[in-house]
Amino acid sequence: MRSFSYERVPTPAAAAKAAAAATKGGLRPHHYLAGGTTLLDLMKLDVMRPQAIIDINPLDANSYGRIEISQHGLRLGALVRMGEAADHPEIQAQYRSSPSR
Amino acid sequence: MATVSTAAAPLLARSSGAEAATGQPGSTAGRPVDVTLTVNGQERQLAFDVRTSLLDLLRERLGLTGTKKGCDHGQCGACTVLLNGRRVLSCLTLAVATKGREVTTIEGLASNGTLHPMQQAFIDNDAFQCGYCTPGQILSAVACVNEGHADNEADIREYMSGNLCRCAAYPNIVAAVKQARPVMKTASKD
Repeated sequence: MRSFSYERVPTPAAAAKAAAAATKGGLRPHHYLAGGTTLLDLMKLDVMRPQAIIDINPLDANSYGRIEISQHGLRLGALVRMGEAADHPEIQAQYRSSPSR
Repeated sequence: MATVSTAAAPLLARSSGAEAATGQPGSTAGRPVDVTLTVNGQERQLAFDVRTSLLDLLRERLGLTGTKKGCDHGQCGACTVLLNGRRVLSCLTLAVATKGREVTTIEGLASNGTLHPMQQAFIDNDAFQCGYCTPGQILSAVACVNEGHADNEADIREYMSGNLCRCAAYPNIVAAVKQARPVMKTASKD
């Protein structure tokens, strides 16, 4: 895995600021880290090569970890884990891809 | 032994720009990061390469080799640990991202020489053969019960499906989870 700079941010504004700073400092590309399952795997395989990682996990989970379903569709907060989405009763009811189980 | 992540990584990214721009020292590529985290109830202060996975930190730095490295790509579940009580794949978790959080490994489950009910249930039900996946299975099973996902066999199979057992001890693993569930519920009420 290639090395990278790492920063934790508490708010979306701080995340945007960190991203702008990374770009300005020549650290391209930057990626946001939430769960990281795909990002870390692809970094190990040298498919994704971020020079800056911005960890958004300190964001307020009450605001950014929500799953909302409305007439406009499905809205997944940036901190929603795959397991939480898969386990959500309304997602299971309305967004099932296979009829099994 | 060199970790997989560092062995394959001769390149150090340019470092000074972002730090200067954001004023956030200690987060720069190529320089060790200082992190304090809690492992099995014990606070640990460590400095390590930013690329270090939680799995490599546990095994290579802390000597906690109970957590196993299977695929190192998040497919097998052998490296499952609890992070603030929630199960995570330690191979796909950056150690630096666990700052200030609580990690529980298989070494931290027993208390005062008494096995955790799930550990005991795995022994009672012969829920393993080679044992390599077992620490991950047990951590996952503990979380599975705590999540309320162990009410029936179908749920147990579904919510344990991220932990592969190539010896195929699955029937006995399900039996172990079923045995431990009421014991864990009773213990949590005490």
